[in-house]
Order: sequence, then structure tokens, then C-alpha cells
Amino acid sequence: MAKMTETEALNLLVGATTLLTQLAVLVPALAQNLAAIKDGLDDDNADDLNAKIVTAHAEVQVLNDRLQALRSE
Amino acid sequence: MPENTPIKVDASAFMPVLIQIVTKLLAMAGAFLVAHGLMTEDQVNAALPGAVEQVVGIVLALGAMAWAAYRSKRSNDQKLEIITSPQTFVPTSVAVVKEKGHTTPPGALAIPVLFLLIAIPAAGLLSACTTLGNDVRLNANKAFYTAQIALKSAQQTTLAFCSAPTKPVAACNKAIDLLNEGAKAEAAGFTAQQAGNAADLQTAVTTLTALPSQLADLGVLEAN
Repeated sequence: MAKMTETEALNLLVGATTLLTQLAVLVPALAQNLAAIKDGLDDDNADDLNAKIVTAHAEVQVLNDRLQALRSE
Repeated sequence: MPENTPIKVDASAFMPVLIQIVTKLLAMAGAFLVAHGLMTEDQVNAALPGAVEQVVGIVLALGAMAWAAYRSKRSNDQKLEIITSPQTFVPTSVAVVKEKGHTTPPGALAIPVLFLLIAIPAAGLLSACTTLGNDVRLNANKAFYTAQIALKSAQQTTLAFCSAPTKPVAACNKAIDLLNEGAKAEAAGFTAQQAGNAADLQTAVTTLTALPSQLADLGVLEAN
């Protein structure tokens, strides 16, 4: 690997920290989602599941709005 | 079998495929590092051949050990010989990646793609199971809920990676557009599910199930 300057090294650290911050939020969220899927599969009550579906619908649509806002032209 | 006879495992037929897979995965990981400014493209390309060789070696060794233990009940002091085909050990795709001059590495989508590859088949399998279930409503709800959460995971992952200042803009826009289609399918599925319309719900689940391969195409095909 080529030698890097102090600025490059600092930029590397900043980039790595940003990435780690994102992953620190994302990974637990994904783990939670997997647990939610498992709970849904284990759920034997269609009405309970329906309540979860209503909540998930709202969450999916909110996330979609946030993604649309992020889209660059 | 005498203890000193080495067990031979012929991995040569399997090697080209293994090298291809490992190279692709590592190239994606490298592209991800480049996209986030953690390494330069030259650094990744320089490190890639050695990394591919190491990972292939580790996978081969582990695979051969497992295979030998399974097939031959290998004893601890028995030697293991892995027959490989060194002539295939040329990571040409590194050069190919460079030749094609990718400026927007698709690697940022590797994690959502991996996650989706696990999550959505669950929904697909499940929707296939609904026809076998006794309680149609319960099983339809399970299938739809699984698809919803898988979509939510893809959204959260894309949101996290595409919020980065160094995001690959073209790939992010494509992913966001695909997920917008997913959200529309989810809304249609939700309406159908609340109304007890099984046919429309099935259509929505099918659309959501097709989403990961489209996202995977976005991430993987550009690396080819």
C-alpha cells in the first residue's frame, strides 16, 4: 500500500467513523427486523398479525418518503 | 485406512468457480471502500490479487478439511492434500474492473443485497406455502408481513448508505427508484390485505419478491 499523508490519514479516520456510525444504527435495526419476521411467522393470531401489518405499512411509507427526499437529480 | 496415508481432495474442478465468486465479492468490498473514500482504487486493485488468493486458500483448506472429515473420518495426525489447479489462479477480473473504468462502485449496495437475498426468499417460500395452509388469512398475513419487513430492511439499508457524502449517486438513485416501486406494491398489497382480496395481495407479494433480484442486478451486474 502506498504511503499516505497526515491529511489522507485523517480523512480515512473520518470516513471510517462515519461508516461505523451508520453501521452501528443499521445492524441492530436489521437484527430487529429479522426478529420481527420470526415473531410474525410464529404468530398464530391473524388479528395480532394484522395490527403488526398496519404498523409496518406506516413505517414503510414513511421510509419511502425519506428515500425520495434523498434522491439526487 | 493406515494413518499415514494422506487423504487427497481434488478441488481443481471447483476452483475456477470459487475464484470467480471470491474475486467478485472482494471486488465489491473493495469498491465499497473506494466509494466511502477509505482506500483509493489503485490501492484496492493492488491488494486484490493477494486477498483473493488468501481467501480462496482458506476456503479450500476449510472445505477440504470438512470434506475429508465427513468422507474419510480423518484422524488428527493424518495429512491432507488438496489438489488445486494453479493455472486458474489469475484474478483477471481485477484488470477487467479497471478497464471498464467504474467510477460509481456498486459495492455500497452489497450489504442490502446480501440481506435481501436472505430475507425475501423467506417471503417467497412462505407465499408458496399459503396454498397449503389451513388458515388462509393467517398465512397470507404472515407472507405479507414478512415481505413488508424485508422491504423495510432494504429501505433502512439504502437510507444509511445513500446518506453518506461519498455515496455512489447513480446506484443510489436506481435503488431509491426500485424501492419506490416496492413501496407502491406494498401500499397496493396493504389495501388488498385489509379488504381481504387474496388475488391482489398475491400480486403485491410477487412484486415484492421480485425486488431483491432487481436490486442484486443493480449491485452485482455493474461489477461484471
